[in-house]
Amino acid sequence: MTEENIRPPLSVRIRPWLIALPALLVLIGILYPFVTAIYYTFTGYQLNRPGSANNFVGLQNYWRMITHVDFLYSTYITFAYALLTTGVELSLGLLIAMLLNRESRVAKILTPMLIFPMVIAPVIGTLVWKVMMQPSVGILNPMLNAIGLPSLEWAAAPQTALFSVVLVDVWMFTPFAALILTAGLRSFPNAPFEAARVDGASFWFTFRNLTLPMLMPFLTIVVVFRLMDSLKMFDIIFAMTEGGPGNTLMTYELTAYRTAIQFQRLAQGLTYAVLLYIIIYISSQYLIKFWGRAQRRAAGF
Amino acid sequence: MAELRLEHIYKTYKGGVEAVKDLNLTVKNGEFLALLGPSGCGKTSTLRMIVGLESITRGEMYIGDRLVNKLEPNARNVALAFETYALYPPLRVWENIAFCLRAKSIPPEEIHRRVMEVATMLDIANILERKPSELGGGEKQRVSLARALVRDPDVFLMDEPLSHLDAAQRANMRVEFKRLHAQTGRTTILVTHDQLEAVAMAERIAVMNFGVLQQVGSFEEVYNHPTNEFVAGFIGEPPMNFLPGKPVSENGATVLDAKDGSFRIRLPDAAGAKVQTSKAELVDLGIRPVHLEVTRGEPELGKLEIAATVVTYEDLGEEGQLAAKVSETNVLVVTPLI
Repeated sequence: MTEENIRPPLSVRIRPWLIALPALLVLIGILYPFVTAIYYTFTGYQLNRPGSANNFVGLQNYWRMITHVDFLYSTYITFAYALLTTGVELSLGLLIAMLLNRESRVAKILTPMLIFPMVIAPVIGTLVWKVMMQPSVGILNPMLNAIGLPSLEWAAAPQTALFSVVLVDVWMFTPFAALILTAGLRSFPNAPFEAARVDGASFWFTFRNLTLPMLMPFLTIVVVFRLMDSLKMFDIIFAMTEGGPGNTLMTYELTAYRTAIQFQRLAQGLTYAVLLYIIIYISSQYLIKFWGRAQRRAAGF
Repeated sequence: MAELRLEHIYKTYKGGVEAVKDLNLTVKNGEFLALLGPSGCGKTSTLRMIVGLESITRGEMYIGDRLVNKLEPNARNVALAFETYALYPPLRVWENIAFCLRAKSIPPEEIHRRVMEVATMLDIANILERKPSELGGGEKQRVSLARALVRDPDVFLMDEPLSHLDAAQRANMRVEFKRLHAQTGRTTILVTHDQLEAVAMAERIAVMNFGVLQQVGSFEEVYNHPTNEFVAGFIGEPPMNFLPGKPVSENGATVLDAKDGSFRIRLPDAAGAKVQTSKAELVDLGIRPVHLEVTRGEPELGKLEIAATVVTYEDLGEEGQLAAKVSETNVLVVTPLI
């Protein structure tokens, strides 16, 4: 018998499986509900009708979703919210990061303070903002009046509802963008920027040709995180208006919740969740690829 | 092209560190000057003040007839080749060189003409499409030079330009620098800690230490007529030996006497007079290792004698280096191969 043919004892053979076990359990923990959810979207499952989970209906839920009278508006508000918050947070974060990227005492004190809005639970933060926006006791309207502007109805009026929740999201997550971008700016070598000064480049010329390409990987990271997060934002919108007034803020996420939990039509609600999953999956794949390219370009490949 | 004049320049950093003290230096139009000194001697601070990346604490700086103390770097029309090259990482070589021209909104045809001109001069026309990370050290150095030269600067500064290159590339680039200077006739300042670089390239050498300019002159001047012990010890490889001795008057001449009698040397009259007037108790005698010879027994006529004990001998292939002790002092002797 040669050495290779000796069968190791069971305790040795089972070792790889034991090592992989936690990962397998986690995989099952993620995959099982995920696959089940997708399966349910092909059924007529309603929480208040026992046995309806076995009622296979094919693509009916999907057809009903995209032909629903509110579907287009829901799509619009989902993307409007995500793009507005991401765009504003990215630009504002970049501005703050540029201002903080200098050797001054103010910058040293302010940088750690950026973390404050992020340590507050989104629901709590939103409720505080809701109190501030309150027409009779809130502080925001008197402040507007003080600088000569009329009072607003904030989240209570359809015209300003989106603005109000975007405002809270921007307040809460701009520091995240600013922190990532500050870290990016701090990581740059000094010499190329000194060279640009000697070369006589204006601030804008340096910013366009040097700072922005070198910062691109960090900007992409911010977009990846904020876009993924804001496409499925629930806490802020729900705490502020529960999707109202009317259907003004009924994003995919809010529609999924309302349909599946409040109306108990679980299968129909999950359909929105699956659609959201597909959108996020595709856009994140694209953004991560772009991130890799930006990183190589910034490093000079 | 212009003359550069520094008058009583001081640089004091936050916290009171005095990097440069009362520096007076004139670099003539078209001259190649090397600023030489050990690290921390203030040479880089001086360079950064000339470029405008560091403010001038006190004193006046002129380029041509212009007082440039308060001018931004871009208004001084000086160019700097950085020690670390400082190429723009996301930009291609072509864009790196054209950066300053594009920043000044020069028409594209002229940018193209001038970039091609320096690229040809520096022999990098074949790598214009590459990114900095794809270049070797020597190529990066050439791009950094091209970027500095394309602007047609009044004063051209180089900060330790050869320190990141290997020996063969160094030798090549030294020749290249001399050729470039001969070709363009630009006022050039080379900052370095390596005296070989300074000697090989520059017409004059300015030696600095502890923020103070020690001596300015040709290599011949600083090597044969150093103004102080620092310059004497810093210039020359291997460094000069210093032997402490006690000056004694003897028949009107001054004789330097070692404590333990290992040497007794009569000083030349001029040096003797200097030693006499200084009334020093102890004087260092500086002798270059190449000027010492190893002999046995009585010295040849006309040569002076120092008694020493051999410690080690190193065979360096082309020559030998003998380490010896004269009383308590280490002495190095360059000898022919034994």
